[in-house]
Amino acid sequence: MAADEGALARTNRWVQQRFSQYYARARLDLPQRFTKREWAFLFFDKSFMVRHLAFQKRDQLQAYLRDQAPRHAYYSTAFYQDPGAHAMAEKGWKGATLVFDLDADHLRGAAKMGYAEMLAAVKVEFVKLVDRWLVGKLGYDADDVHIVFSGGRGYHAHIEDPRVLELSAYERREVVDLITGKADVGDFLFQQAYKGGRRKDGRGYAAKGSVMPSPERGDWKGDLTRETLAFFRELDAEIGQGHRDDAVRRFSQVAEVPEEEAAGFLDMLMGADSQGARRIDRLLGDHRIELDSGINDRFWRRIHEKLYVQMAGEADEPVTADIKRLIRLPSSIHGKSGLMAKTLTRDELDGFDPLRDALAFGREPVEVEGLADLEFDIGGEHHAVEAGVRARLPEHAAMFVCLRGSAAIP
Amino acid sequence: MALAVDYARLSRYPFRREASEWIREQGVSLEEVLTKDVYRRVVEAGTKRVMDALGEGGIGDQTAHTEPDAFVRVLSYPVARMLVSAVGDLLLVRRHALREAEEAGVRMAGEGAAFLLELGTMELGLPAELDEDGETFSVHFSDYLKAASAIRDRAWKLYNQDLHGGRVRLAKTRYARLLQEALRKRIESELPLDVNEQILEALRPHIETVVMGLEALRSSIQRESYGEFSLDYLPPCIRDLLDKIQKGVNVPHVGRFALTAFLSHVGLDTADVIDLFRGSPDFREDLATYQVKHIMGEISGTKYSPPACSTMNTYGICLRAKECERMGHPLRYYERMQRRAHKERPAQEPTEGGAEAVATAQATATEHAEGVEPDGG
Repeated sequence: MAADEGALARTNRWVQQRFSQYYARARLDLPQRFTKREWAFLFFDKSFMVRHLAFQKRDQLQAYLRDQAPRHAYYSTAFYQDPGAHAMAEKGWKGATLVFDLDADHLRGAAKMGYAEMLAAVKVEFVKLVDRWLVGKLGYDADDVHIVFSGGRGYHAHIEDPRVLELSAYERREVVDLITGKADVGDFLFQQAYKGGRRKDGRGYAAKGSVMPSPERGDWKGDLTRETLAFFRELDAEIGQGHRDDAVRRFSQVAEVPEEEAAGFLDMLMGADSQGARRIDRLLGDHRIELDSGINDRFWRRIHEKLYVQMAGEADEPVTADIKRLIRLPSSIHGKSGLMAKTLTRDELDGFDPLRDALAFGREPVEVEGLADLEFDIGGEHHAVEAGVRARLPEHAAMFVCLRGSAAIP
Repeated sequence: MALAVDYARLSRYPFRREASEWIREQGVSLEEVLTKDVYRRVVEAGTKRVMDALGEGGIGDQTAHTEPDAFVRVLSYPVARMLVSAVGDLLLVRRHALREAEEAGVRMAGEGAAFLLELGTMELGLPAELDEDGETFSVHFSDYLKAASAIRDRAWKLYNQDLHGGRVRLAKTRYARLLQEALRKRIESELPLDVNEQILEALRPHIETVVMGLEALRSSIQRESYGEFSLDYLPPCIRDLLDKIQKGVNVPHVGRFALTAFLSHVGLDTADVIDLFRGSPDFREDLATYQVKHIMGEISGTKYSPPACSTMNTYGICLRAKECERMGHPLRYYERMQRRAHKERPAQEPTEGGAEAVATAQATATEHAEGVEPDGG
């Protein structure tokens, strides 16, 4: 069912009025050097982006947001000599915040998830990006990573460390390649044969196995050895606690073999050899990869490739590599959800539920008329609208359905 | 009591503050050196320094052991800078920076940790910390990237480094190599200096010598780099993109961009490129012409350079072909194939033209995206 012109106009008017009221009172969360950033906006009643704007004072920006009630508000990750210049070449690039963006479309299977489920899944990946990569590898204090829920389907991390502001696009891409795991794992194994030697006739014979790179190493090879050891240690513990089926299932997924085959391999690995020693203990102790018993190098390579991918983080590459990107203003409203783009500390992130903690609007009841059937959760409640049926919803839910085009103000 | 002056160190690293202070102590100004006949040997040494940088062998060992020798060698460095600045050519600046840094790099590799730390911290903006073992250095990843990003070998990629807590750990020789890169970048960024009329006049005959040497180099680069275009030289990624376009398979924007920029760079003009695209079933001359002209800089004035392998990889259009290993840039593959076909000389380092092109490609590879897509999530 399509909304008539009048209903659309009424809906837009209502939304803009509510956005305007929000911005009149909002405590804006401005980026460092905000006067040196370019600002850009999308509107409810214009089909083009208004950009190349600059604001000298917080009040000016706040008044602009209140008066214009834009649907989306962005600023440039770059800061410029003259941010208001209309040609990019004339702006005078001085540096750019290092930004990481993780959006739900980057997750496997996101298309099949509901909104709440998608938000939860993307948060898990984002926590990994922050903890493992930005804090662990790149050495930032959690306080130096400015975390923002985007108001839509993802999270951003901003780093303002003066040392990274001048990194070129190419250099930023190297950072993304590090995080997303661009190394070729092909040469991970078979560095150092642990068997092999010379026969009596003097001819050499081939090694039947290899030692993984030292877990002490600080590069990805050391990381992958630690990841591999941790994986097998967990499987061993799982089996020890009597959860053999779980271990087999997990292993068959990682090794991409049928469960029967996975079970056979685990039995071989955890069982004793002819000398009464367990192969798993040699793996965990000496980091040996043994290639007898019909287990070939391709099999191991698959496991390592999978573990490497699991270890790698996710971040949208073009966003980090682009030194002139526009990014959503934290504390502004996302014009497709009615949720706030919200700044969070690392501690707050753990308990953060966007559908409860990033509501920009309250519970005041609003009457809407459904344009389509939609069921959704927001503000801790389940709601539904039906095409052609009027319903009273709390304002944040009414806003959500109207912005999605599934309801209108009658 | 005067301290003993280390002439070897002064002459090997004439870019250091200590060297310029020493020159000041000699009581001669650069203007005097350039204009007075008694210093002719110094000016000649400076000219030779620049000319050697243009040649294959580089500037060679500059180590001096006596005061008079050190005087000539150390001063020949600022003279060379003046001469390079007077000519004011970008290729010359790059060559000079490259060769000066290479020579210093050879010497740095043999230095002790303390001296390298001092160089990195006090002179070259690449501060490091030394591990307790006295031989492992660590630098912040951002400093590492700024110095190492011009080195194309995979072994220098950030993802192949020993990195933890934001610091890259390096053996001494690798730190010395980074210092060499930092020096090259510093010299490139400092030149050309302002040159006044008086100096210009004094240097005139030497300027002519350098310009002639430079033009000879330039024409040999052009001859060597991109002669006759041939599809046979195309690297796998570019050939794949071209095949897809000709078969009408949808190629994403980044792919069209990479293909067009590449073909343009190896000497095809707009009409040639459009002809190659013509096979595509969805070919639309007006649209193709606009896109090609835009990428070739005929519309905006910005000519885009083809992306490096790392960029191709990031965009998912690198085929990771075996034969491309260590190439670093699709252009390098093209150059190698071309050279092999001509059998002019065995495969070796890319020609200067290629290296220049690669450097430019890095600088501009992503400019086509200039913040037009916002990330609101």
